[in-house]
Amino acid sequence: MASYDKKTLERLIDGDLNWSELRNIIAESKDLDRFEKILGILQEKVDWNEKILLPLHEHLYIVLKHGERIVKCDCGYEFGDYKKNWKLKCRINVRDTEHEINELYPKDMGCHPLWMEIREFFCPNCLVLLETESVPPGYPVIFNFLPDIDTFYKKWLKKSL
Amino acid sequence: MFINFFGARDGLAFHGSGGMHGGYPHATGYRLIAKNTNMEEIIRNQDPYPIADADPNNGDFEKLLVADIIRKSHCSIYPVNLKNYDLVHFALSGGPGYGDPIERSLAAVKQDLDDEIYTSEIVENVYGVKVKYNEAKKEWIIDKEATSECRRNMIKRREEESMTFDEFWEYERTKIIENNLSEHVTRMYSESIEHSTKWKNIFYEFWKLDEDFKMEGI
Ligand SMILES: [Zn+2]
Repeated sequence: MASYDKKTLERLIDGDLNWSELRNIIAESKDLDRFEKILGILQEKVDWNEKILLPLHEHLYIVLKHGERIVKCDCGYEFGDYKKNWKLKCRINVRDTEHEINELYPKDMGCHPLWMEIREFFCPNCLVLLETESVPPGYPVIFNFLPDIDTFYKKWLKKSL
Repeated sequence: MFINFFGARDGLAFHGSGGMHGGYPHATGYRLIAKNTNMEEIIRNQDPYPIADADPNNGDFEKLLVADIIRKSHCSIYPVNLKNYDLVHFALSGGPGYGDPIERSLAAVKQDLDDEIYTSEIVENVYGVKVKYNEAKKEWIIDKEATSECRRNMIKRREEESMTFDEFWEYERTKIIENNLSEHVTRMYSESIEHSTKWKNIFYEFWKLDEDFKMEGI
């Protein structure tokens, strides 16, 4: 069973491994303590103390705060209950004109605004671009991912929360 | 000799619902056909001819050929007749982006420029990276100071130009209730509503539409 040191996993998270190193990690069976080690590294990276239960998204974590599971940005902004769509707390920019779409794409290589628009979701505090949606105009905001944290801990990790 | 050429790809809409974790969706396709070209003469004179379309805003086809050039942004085309010396170009795109583009490493952006993946204009607008071309060395030089400033300005612009969710909700809902959607999008929604009560409920609940609300023209 493979096992990787902390330094290697840190470089994995930062995207600094070269392909020959990365390829082996992808191809090998997962090391059993990977999740624990990754959580440890992530917890060291953030400036706050709430316990990370699950990394949810780039910059976002589900953390335990006063017994509640909430979504928190690495900048410290708290999005609230993880069962609610964190995107509804974001600042949002809609690119729904040819001019706004063509800032990002050369001629004919972006969507046509009558067919699709690009929505940008920013953290209201640090303004990092957390998500883009490309959807037909009028489409409800997509809820990306609702993890079953209890099942994951109890049945997969065989740990209590 | 004549050949029949046709093909289909995503043209006016992105494939899939976006990039990942803040990345933008990958580019859509388009069709480029050059007919009645002067390729015979170009080949005879050993002149340069277009082998790619690196910057569609400033196309090599238009610069290097005398021809009837057709660019179609909808990427599916019915069979067209092509004859000797006609040219066809269609670009395959890579995958969608991952992560906030302004966090991308400068080395990776420089590599893409040197490989002619992106134009300097796109690199500035998407990644917030300011560059200059060194003609003598034939390579792109990144201006680190200007890049930091550009990225700071982009963050400022994100704050100024974005809406709160409530503002977004009003803005987007208006498109539906005032029937500002195009015919095909209206039709997509109304057919989805007809086919699935579950989806109808999601749609009506999200936009707080009255039970008797109907998409226009249905
Ligand atoms: Zn943040």
